[in-house]
Amino acid sequence: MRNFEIFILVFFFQSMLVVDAQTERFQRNGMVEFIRSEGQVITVSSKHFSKEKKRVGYNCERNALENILFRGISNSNQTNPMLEGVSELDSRLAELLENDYIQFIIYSECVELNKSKKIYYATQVVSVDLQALRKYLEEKKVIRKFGL
Amino acid sequence: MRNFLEIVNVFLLCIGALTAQVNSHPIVQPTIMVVPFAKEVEKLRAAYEKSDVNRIAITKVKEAFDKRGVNTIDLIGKLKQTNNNAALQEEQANETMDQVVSLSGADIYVVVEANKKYSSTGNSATVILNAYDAFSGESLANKVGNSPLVYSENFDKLIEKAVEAEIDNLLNTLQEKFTNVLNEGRSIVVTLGVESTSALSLEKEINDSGDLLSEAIEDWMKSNAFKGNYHLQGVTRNKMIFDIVKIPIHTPSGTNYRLRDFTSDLRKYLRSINLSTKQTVQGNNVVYTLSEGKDKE
Repeated sequence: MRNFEIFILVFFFQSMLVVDAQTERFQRNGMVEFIRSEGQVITVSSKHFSKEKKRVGYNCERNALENILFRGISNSNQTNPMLEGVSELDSRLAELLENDYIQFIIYSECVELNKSKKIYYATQVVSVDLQALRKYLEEKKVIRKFGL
Repeated sequence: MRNFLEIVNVFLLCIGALTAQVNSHPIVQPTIMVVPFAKEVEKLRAAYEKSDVNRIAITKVKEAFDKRGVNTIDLIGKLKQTNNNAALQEEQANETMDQVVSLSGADIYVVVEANKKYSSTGNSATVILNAYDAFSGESLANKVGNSPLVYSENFDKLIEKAVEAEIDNLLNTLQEKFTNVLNEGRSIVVTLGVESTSALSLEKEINDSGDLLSEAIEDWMKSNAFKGNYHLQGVTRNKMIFDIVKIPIHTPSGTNYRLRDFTSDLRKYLRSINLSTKQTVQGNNVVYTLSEGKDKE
């Protein structure tokens, strides 16, 4: 009986951890720095963190992408956000930020990874194909094609 | 049951068609011409031909517009066309910037000025990009692009780098301005004046309820300006100036709304209140000269 109680407790605790990991909300930060731009490809370094090692890379990439979309990258050829005037809660963006974003990242490498107090901190160099991203957003009618 | 399903099907098809119509709102591609910077009396062809760095910069800017799906008007092609036009051959000086822009039919023109910079710590290039609305002369976007300092005499590459550094920002700023124009309408200036030989006054009562002519015209403007947006600069007995009147980009059916659509409606209204008009349109300026009595058309 005692074993059963321990089993229930462990099961409950693990379930809580899984739920906690799954519900870890992504929050954008401004720690994205311009490195270079070649043609329609912009390369930035992005810093982010996560409780899970496998998720920290995704967070860095998403942070880079969200900065390009909603904030703009200072000292670059993308100082204006790509989605100026578009709500961040627009349902058409959820698919992009959760899954489709990977199509536009043409290079991504973790250059620094540290763990402190059970949290992973990473710096990732990310290259984004802006032309393909813009075309995707135009097709989804999130942004208008160039013109009036 | 089968009939019911057919009705539902037809209803869904109608909804689908309506949605498609809403989503396929047309996008007007502005016509754009990229020109080199030229001094007031300098010919554009001379400015284009004398500077190889300007030619590279212009080509890079045109390439950037192409990538965004906008075709540009070629300056040299347009110059040849205007010079071949018999009406223009008498005066070959028709090559200054203002003249070429007004003859080109471009909605927007981008002026490009590229410069080489030599220094002991390396060479670099600077490109100045200014975009203007050819219709109103309004400045739309202005950027200065700099290349990195490099120990190199290859200015072609440096110019490319300088253009690449800012061209996307220029296009993004232009797109922002387009969105504003789309939401707020395009500005025109409307001036109504009484013909010098006419006894007509804008303070004349035109109906039994005692409305003055100027008030009736202002009411029409309120109803017909885009979203009722206009600004009346001033009214005297013989002149009325609307320094801002907004007109839409699209008609409700989705076709292009031209300045002529607005001027024609205003002319018809003035005719309906027994006024004869002479109309002059230049760029975004419309001038009506009013006198009493309907035109005989």
